[in-house]
This record gives sequence, C-alpha cells and structure tokens, in this order.
Amino acid sequence: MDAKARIKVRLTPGFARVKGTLLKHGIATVCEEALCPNIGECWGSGTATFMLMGDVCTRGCRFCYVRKGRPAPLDPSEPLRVARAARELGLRYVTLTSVTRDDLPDGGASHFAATVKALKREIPGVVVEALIPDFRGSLEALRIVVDSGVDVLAHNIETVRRLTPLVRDPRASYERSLWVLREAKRLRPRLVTKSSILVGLGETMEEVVEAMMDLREAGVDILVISQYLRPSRRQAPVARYYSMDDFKRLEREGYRLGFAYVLAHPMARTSYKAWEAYQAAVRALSNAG
Amino acid sequence: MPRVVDVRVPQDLWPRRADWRGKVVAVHATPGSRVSEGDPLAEVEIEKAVLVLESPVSGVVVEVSVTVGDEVGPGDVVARIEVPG
Repeated sequence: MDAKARIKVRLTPGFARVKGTLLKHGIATVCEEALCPNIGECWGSGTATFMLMGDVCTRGCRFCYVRKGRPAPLDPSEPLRVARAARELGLRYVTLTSVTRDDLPDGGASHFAATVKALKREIPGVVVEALIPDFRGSLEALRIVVDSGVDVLAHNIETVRRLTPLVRDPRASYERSLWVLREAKRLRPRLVTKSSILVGLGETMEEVVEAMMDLREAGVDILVISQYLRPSRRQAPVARYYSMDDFKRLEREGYRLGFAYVLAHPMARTSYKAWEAYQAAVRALSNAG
Repeated sequence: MPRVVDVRVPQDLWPRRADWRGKVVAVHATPGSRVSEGDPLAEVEIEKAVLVLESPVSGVVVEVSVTVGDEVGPGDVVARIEVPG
C-alpha cells in the first residue's frame, strides 16, 4: 500500500446512534482519541472501543495521538457507565482499553477489574477484552485484571525490540511487555491473550518475524499486525507502507509459528474482528486440552 | 422554496477530538454543477488518511469555498448546495 487509505465520511444513522449513546454516558473511546480511520465503519456497525480512566496519558509514545500530561482523578462511576452504554448499544463483545496511568498505585488495574465485573453483571454472557498497559511490571496489578473474569487479555508489544526505545515511552520496554503476556498466561492458562505489532516504523521484516516468535514464546494466542499511520506531524513519520503481499506473508508466518488467529492487514487494529479471533483462540485452546 | 445547505468538514467524525487539521487535496465540486447525494465534493488529507467528503443532499452547487492546498478543520464550510424546494 503506497497510497493513504481513502475513507468516506458520510455519517450514517448507526454512527449517530453510537455517538449519542457515548455522549449520554460520557464515555471516551480510543476510536476518537487516536483519530482512527476505521471509526465510520465500526461506529456505523454499532461497535466502539471504550477508553477508561480519562483521555490524558502519563506516557508519551511517539506513534500515539492520545493527549499526554497529568490525568484527572479516577471517576468511580465510570465502570457502571461503560457497562450501561455497552448494554444500550447491544454489544456482546466489549473491548476496553485505557490511557497508561503511572500515577495510580495499581496503574488502574482495579478500575479495569471493576469495569469487567460491571459489564458481566449488566450483560449476561458478554465477552470482555481488556487491552491493558504494563502496570509498571506489577504482578499484583496484573493479577487483579486476570482474576476479574476478563475473557481476552491484550497487551501490545507495538514494535520490534530494536525500535522500542525510540518509539515507545522510556518507561515501556520490550521485555516488560513480553513479561505481561507471559505472566498473564501463567496465571490463567485458559485465558486468551493477544498482542499487536505496528509495522512501518523502520523495522526490517526479519525483526518483525523475531517479534512474532517472541510473542509466540510468551504464549500469545492472537496476533494483530497493522500499518503504522502517522496521526499528525507531532508523531513519528511512516518509514514504509507495507504491501498487501507483505501482510499476507506475515500472516502465513504467524500461522506457521502457531498463533491461533492472525490478523495482518494495513487497517487492522487490536479490536478489529475481535469476536472471530476470540472464537478461533478458544477453539485452539480447547483442542490443546 | 429552494434552500441552501452548507456542507462542512465533519465535526462528528471524531467527536471528542475537534483539534485535527487537514489539507484539501482535491475539489470535485464546481459552481453551477448538479450533484447527487453521496457524490464526492472534496478530499481532505490528514496524516492518517484521505477523507472523502460527500454531498449530504442532491442539488446544485452554488459556491465552492475551498481550493486545493487550503488547510481546513472540523466545521469549516467546503461548499454550498441549493436544494430544490
């Protein structure tokens, strides 16, 4: 793909409905905060990815459009508001993510857990995915989320080992991200785990494959690989646009390495096709006994 | 009575982030031309994508407010279209 994606911005009634519900419940989404080009498609089909704990992040990764700074105190009513909004939208699969909250003692783990529990109460049978930060490597914090009843635990490695110090906030690390994924699996072996790599930041194909191998070794079930798109001039430039053939090659490699589900597509994001990916991972875990 | 509709760069696309700016990279509408609902009027490039702004109505373009190279943001008028009453 050497040209930018063209997206139509005629907003549909489905989009207006999602927007109205989110506004009513006062909920932030990563769809908006990251200027996601898929927003028309996702909101138009009735789904959104909720962003917990405010819209200000304590970290400053160079690929990310989310505002950086000092976040507001946690709002204890948020878990229930999110759950009610999800119910109103009729969601059967809910993806939660958050800003990174290094200012909170548990990094926001309890808030994640409270939201998962509120969703499970409000929507019987709902499947919940939590795309979490690294909680500064706290096993206690990680355990709080893992034990919350969450169905899919996602944590993004984001980029290859070599580029991590250049692309991610200095408080993040490649090894720590692998640790989060490995420990989540160790704490609950049947928990579906997931991670995403953004390509096009200047890595080689070999480095991407190495990151995939590291993720697989950490027991990750679902792999998402997608094209980095620069949100604004303030973020890192795109070093390369991968072709569809490149993505197909990475997808084949992912399955060869043993991932239960691989989504490699320029416009894929962590929550894209999440239900399909979840089902494939559950099947694979069942077959593995 | 015919009415004139202002077509704007959408403010709703990312409702919580109205701080983005883009550059007009194509203008398809010309004054006096007839457009149908859904026809592309202009294209705005942001870093992440090219946004295709479509006509929300069918009618006649009475004014085109942008040219290629203009910087625009949410809420800016792109064109005005007269809709037969």
